[in-house]
Amino acid sequence: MSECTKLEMKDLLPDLARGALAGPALAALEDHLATCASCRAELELVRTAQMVLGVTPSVDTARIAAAVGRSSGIRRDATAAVAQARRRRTWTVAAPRRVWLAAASIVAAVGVSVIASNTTRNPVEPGAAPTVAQVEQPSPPGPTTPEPTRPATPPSVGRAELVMAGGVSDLADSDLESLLQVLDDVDTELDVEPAVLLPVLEGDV
Amino acid sequence: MTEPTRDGEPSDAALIARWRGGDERAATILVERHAPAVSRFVASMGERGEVEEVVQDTFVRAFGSLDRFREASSLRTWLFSIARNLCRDRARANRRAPTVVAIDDTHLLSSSDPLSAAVATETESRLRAAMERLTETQRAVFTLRVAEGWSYREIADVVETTEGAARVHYHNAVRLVKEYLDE
Repeated sequence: MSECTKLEMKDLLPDLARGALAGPALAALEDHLATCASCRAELELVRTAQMVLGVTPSVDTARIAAAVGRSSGIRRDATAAVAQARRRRTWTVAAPRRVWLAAASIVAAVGVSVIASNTTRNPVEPGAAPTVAQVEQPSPPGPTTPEPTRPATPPSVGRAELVMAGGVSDLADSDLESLLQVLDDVDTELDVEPAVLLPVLEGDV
Repeated sequence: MTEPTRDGEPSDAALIARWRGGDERAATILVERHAPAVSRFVASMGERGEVEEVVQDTFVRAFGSLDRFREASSLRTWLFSIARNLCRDRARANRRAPTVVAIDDTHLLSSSDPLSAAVATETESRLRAAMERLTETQRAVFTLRVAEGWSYREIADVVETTEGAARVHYHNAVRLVKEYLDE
């Protein structure tokens, strides 16, 4: 018995064996089977395989459904716990953030005020070495010599670019934007999500 | 082959939506609907003694990751893909060599005629032995095409190949089984 090469007919044999074939396809296959011993033999094989493999093992669907319910219940509880933990995290992060922003604003305002004040009162001469700070030194012991009088000068802005002595509201627009940018960067860093709290949710597929 | 449709019964997609909404009964219906076919497939893949365990694991995993299920695909195809992966993992873990599966007393080909029963048992035994010689993919394709009547398109989704390749796997499997039975 030579092997049939009409795969399009062989493809239909499982459907014929299941009674799922009708119309022109069924008629064409029946015509082919009438003259093809190879396909008739294969049809018998397919029918036998359907009987053998079609046996449904006994499984307790109620037990399986219960296991699914337990698993999904645990998962939902875990999901709820994660959501609750995230809400807590949102509060615990949000509260220090407000404090942090307020502290940063105060520090920035004070710092700018000090710089502006020092620059105004002690203008640095051109070419002088930069100094971190100018500290008033006590006079050495000994005969005191009269300090040369400095001509009174009216309060001036000097070389300081930032002129303020009050709060953040006294900052120039550009400096205020710089400050806000720094605060935004800090804010962004704080928005990083924490690691997953419950590893049971990961990779459980 | 399309998604199983039953008169008056909700579709798989509707049941999934209900389950996502907290309706545990929907999961029970889905299990009752698909567990028999999944168990047949698992058994044909060689898991004769631990079928229920594998089927249960299949559904637990499926429902556990239902968020990742794409509505465009068939739930049945997805379940069979999970079941197939579980069978493969277990086969690897057990490092089992191909063996002839023992046949219990409840096989379908039993007959009241002792001679017919013996012939039927022999036929079933030889068929299962022949299937043990197939590759895992060939066995899956052969089972899904012959026992479940799936299209090559659906089979390809389960065994992660193309429709054309699934067709080739099927015809190769049939040829190998016939060769074994003719020996």
